[in-house]
Amino acid sequence: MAQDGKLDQLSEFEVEVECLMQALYLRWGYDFREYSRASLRRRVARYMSDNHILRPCDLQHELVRDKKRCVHFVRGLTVNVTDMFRDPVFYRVIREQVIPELRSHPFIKIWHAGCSTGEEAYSMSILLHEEGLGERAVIYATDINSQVLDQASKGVYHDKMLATARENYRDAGGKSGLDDFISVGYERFLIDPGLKKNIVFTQHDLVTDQVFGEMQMVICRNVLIYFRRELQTKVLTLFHNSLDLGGFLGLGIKESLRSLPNEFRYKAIDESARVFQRID
Amino acid sequence: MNQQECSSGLIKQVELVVIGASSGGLDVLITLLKTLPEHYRIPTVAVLHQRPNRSSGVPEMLAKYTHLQVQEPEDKQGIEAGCFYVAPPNYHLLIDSGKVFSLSLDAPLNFCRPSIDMAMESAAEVYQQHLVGCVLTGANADGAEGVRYIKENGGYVMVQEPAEATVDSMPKAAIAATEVDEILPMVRIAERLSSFAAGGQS
Ligand SMILES: C[S@@+](CC[C@H](N)C(=O)[O-])C[C@H]1O[C@@H](n2cnc3c(N)ncnc32)[C@H](O)[C@@H]1O
Repeated sequence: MAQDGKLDQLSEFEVEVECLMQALYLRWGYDFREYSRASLRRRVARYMSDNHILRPCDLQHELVRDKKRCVHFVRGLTVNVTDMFRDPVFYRVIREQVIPELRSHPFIKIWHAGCSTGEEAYSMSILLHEEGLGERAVIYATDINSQVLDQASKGVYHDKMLATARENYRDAGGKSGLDDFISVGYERFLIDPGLKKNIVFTQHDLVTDQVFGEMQMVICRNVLIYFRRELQTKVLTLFHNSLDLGGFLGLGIKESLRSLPNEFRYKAIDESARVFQRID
Repeated sequence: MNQQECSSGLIKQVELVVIGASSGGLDVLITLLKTLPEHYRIPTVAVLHQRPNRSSGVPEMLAKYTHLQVQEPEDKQGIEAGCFYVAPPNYHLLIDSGKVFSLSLDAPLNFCRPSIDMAMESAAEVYQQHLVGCVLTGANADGAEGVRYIKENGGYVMVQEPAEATVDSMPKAAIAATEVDEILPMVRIAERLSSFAAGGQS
């Protein structure tokens, strides 16, 4: 396409978004430079129209001057949609094929990277308790977005999520009933405090922060899809270095290790559930 | 070079086709695949609204009717000739620079995930005038914004004849949203796509 040049040229809007990302990095250290552009641009455009800003360069002008505004903006850049026991097959595979191996460990450390509002970490905690490993495990649940972490540590959710949660719990091979682990109140349900004891919610940026040592399992689902290939590779290396040999890696249902440099250092425990084991 | 004279008079080199369909969509996609000739190799993406269950079985079923390789794209997979891609249920499917797919779990847009609008808009940004968008049968207005954006970026838009569509609101909304290039019955849309591919090349 070189001769018509068109395909590789960026539009005015696209160029300004590139500059904006560079500026946020240089000014405040927020690094979205290697995020997938298609969805990032949509969210920038969304923020601009909500705030009546016409051009990304106007937005840039404001954000390099105003840290508070920038924090607010950056929160809107991440997609935080999640569910209890999302993709039940994933939890079923954890229960049936990973838990038996984890039993041999006196102490189990699990890292949920990009945990959003915490449903995923609580789902894992429920599963571990049902399998009698609750007391032996610590779950580190991290996200870049401090606002979702606040919500996560409260463990209070809207009851419109409840029907899906119950159904997913059953499909995931739940042993009793979800209601044994939550209390349902007016328009809300809350997670049993006992499940929280072993979960540590803390802020961590996968792009700029360091290794999270010696985990038996790292779970990072539906976060890598927002990253470009090179950043995916980098983050997967971070996970690799955070995992014990023989430890487990869980990805989102549409994410894979295929044709990434680390591909052959893992064996698939269940390819379609995206559960892998570090073998090298 | 696979260049074609379009009715709009522009010389086109079609590099990607994005098709949006909802209620009644599976049947028209089968009609499309049955009609496309062997030489048709233009990468084609179908965004079909489906129930949000884990595995839809749609690609396996469509594969029976075509020589094209039917698949649900994985995140960051490259777009290739000879492939017919079906958006996975419950994710948005976007086209990213470098001609790769990107998935997203953004909230549904106008109750739709995958959203036809999001797929078309992102594709238009990358493929510009080398993109063809088609809106087929469906019960909402998804795709209307998408085709408007495709036209703005110099692409080509075809809409299924509303009278032929199982549900006509989606084609009608697309027609109302922008000056579409052609309004045709499904079989004619397939023929048109074949003619875009006729210039040869792999
Ligand atoms: C769609 S949610 C996924 C939630 C959950 N893992 C699931 O699959 O349901 C993506 C999460 O990734 C987080 N995220 C995005 N970029 C990140 C980064 N650089 N470091 C850590 N978390 C990040 C977002 O804040 C968001 O909460």
